[in-house]
Amino acid sequence: MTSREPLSSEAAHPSLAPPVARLIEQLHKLPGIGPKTAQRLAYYLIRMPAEEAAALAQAIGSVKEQTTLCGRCRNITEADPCRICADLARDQTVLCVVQEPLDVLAIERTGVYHGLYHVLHGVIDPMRNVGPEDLHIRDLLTRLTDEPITEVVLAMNPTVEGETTALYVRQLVAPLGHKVTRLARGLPVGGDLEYADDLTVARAFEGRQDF
Amino acid sequence: MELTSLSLTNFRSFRALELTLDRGLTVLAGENAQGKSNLLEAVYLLAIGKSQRAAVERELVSWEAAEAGGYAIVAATVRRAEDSVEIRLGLDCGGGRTNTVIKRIRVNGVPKRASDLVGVLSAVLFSASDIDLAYGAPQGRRRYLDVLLSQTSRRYVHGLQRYLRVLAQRNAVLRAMRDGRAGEDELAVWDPQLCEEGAAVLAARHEAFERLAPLATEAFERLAGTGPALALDYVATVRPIEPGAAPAPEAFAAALERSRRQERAAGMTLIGPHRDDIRLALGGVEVAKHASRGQARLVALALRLAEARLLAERRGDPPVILLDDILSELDERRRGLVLEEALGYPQVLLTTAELALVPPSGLAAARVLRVADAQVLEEVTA
Ligand SMILES: Nc1ncnc2c1ncn2[C@@H]1O[C@H](COP(=O)(O)OP(=O)(O)O)[C@@H](O)[C@H]1O
Ligand SMILES: [Mg+2]
Ligand SMILES: [Zn+2]
Repeated sequence: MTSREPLSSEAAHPSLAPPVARLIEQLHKLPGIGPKTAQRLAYYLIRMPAEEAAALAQAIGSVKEQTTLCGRCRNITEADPCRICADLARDQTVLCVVQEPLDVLAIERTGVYHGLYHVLHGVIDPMRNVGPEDLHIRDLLTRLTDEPITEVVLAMNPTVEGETTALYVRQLVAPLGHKVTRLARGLPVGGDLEYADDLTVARAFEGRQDF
Repeated sequence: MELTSLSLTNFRSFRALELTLDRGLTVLAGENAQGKSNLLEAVYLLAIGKSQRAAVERELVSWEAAEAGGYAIVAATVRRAEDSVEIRLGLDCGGGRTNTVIKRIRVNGVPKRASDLVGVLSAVLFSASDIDLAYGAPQGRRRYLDVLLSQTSRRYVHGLQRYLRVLAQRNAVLRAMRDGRAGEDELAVWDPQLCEEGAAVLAARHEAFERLAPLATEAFERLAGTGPALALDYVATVRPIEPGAAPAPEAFAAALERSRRQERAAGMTLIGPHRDDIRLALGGVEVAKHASRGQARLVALALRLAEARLLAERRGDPPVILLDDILSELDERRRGLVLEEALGYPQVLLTTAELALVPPSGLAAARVLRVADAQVLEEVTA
């Protein structure tokens, strides 16, 4: 996402043992981790009991191997279809479109929504060279023709990019005749679904409006 | 409102400074390159959340601290009409040799975004480079309006940010289209937001300008005395449907439609508040092209005085006035006039290389501080 500055010479100093330097460098690549934090985390990991460190390494190693994208909703899952898609007790007529897998979690936590999801894995962001074809929009349209969906809830974040993506999706969905709603602006302006509290998300859901 | 204390740590040439400040006039006197402007820059930084003169924020951190991956802090206590607030702005060069600076802001201890700091302290900075308002490119005049409006309304700050973001995205699409990497449908989805946010920016500017223009005209008249009057015109690239009103989103959309071909060729959005200007004229003659330096200087002063007045009106709490080395370029009568107007505000911080330039009436009641080598000392006046 964000372009990263190269690690400062201080953070990868020659006095560091190469394995430590490598760890710092890997940690620094993570979002929200600056060089200082990467150093701190590295030393925390070094002092960890060996079995805990191994468990962490294993968890990281297996997360890529043991997960896949759900063939239907594109959420990250261990089994395909995912649990939500496989749950026939859920309302099969409502589909909520979200930006990221974490948004599914945020909405599920509120317990107010019982329909299905579709994860786009991003928003339209021309400055970062992300166009509509880089998102899971075509899969969405296929689902809308193949599944008994009647309402599409657009739950993208109320950022400039989220609004535009919602608009783009709406334009493609409109000719198919589905009811299209947008989550109410109860969310903090410019804010992420992921960071909003459960009550805010629940209210946004109840107040969703025709779009 | 007024600052009651100011504290600088590793800010530009200041290693550590603790200053208590009073109401009324404070004169900061000192030779050139001693840190007088740095001090006012620090205050203004707290008001608008960014420096008016630094190209990159790293410049604001003392070279020594920046080199060592350290940080700068500017902190102040502000007494306002209703309350008192503590503002603290930190610039962290913790990235070592990389050039990133992390800005951290707290108001009463609570973390804030820079856009939420704007206007917590309101201030107007007068400086010698203000002459660019009269002579320079439209960008400076747009910035003048935006900074003014941002200090009156948080909604404006956020609306403007959204507009500029949509604009940048839309321009990226236009460039991609020129290179055959994007289609028409990818452009159209940005237009509703561009028009909506853009119209809101225009409406706010329009509304403020209605009041600002006469204030500037009056201020100029007071400064210039007899002679041609100053007229201000907001030159909009998006015309309103009704004359005298601000353009609605529909007018914006229509104008966008008309500029389709040109913007495709240019690879950028050619109309909207980011392309507007304020035309300044003296007796019908454009200031930018024909005014003398002396006239241009008075026009710039009038714009700042109008800014201060409008801020005071809108906020119901007058701004802090910062006068950075503006006396040397004025004649004695104008020095008196400007200082008299400034002293209509509760707090004025004035820098000068020569105490003799400060009108005696003002100086009599002023607190004089001597700035030398980034140290500030009380002047014991005889
Ligand atoms: N980041 C910085 N670190 C250390 N010194 C700085 C920094 N930025 C500017 N300076 C110094 O500050 C001085 C200019 O101070 P300034 O306030 O503009 O002077 P004046 O008193 O003439 O208004 C110069 O000597 C310059 O070298
Ligand atoms: Mg100076
Ligand atoms: Zn699924």
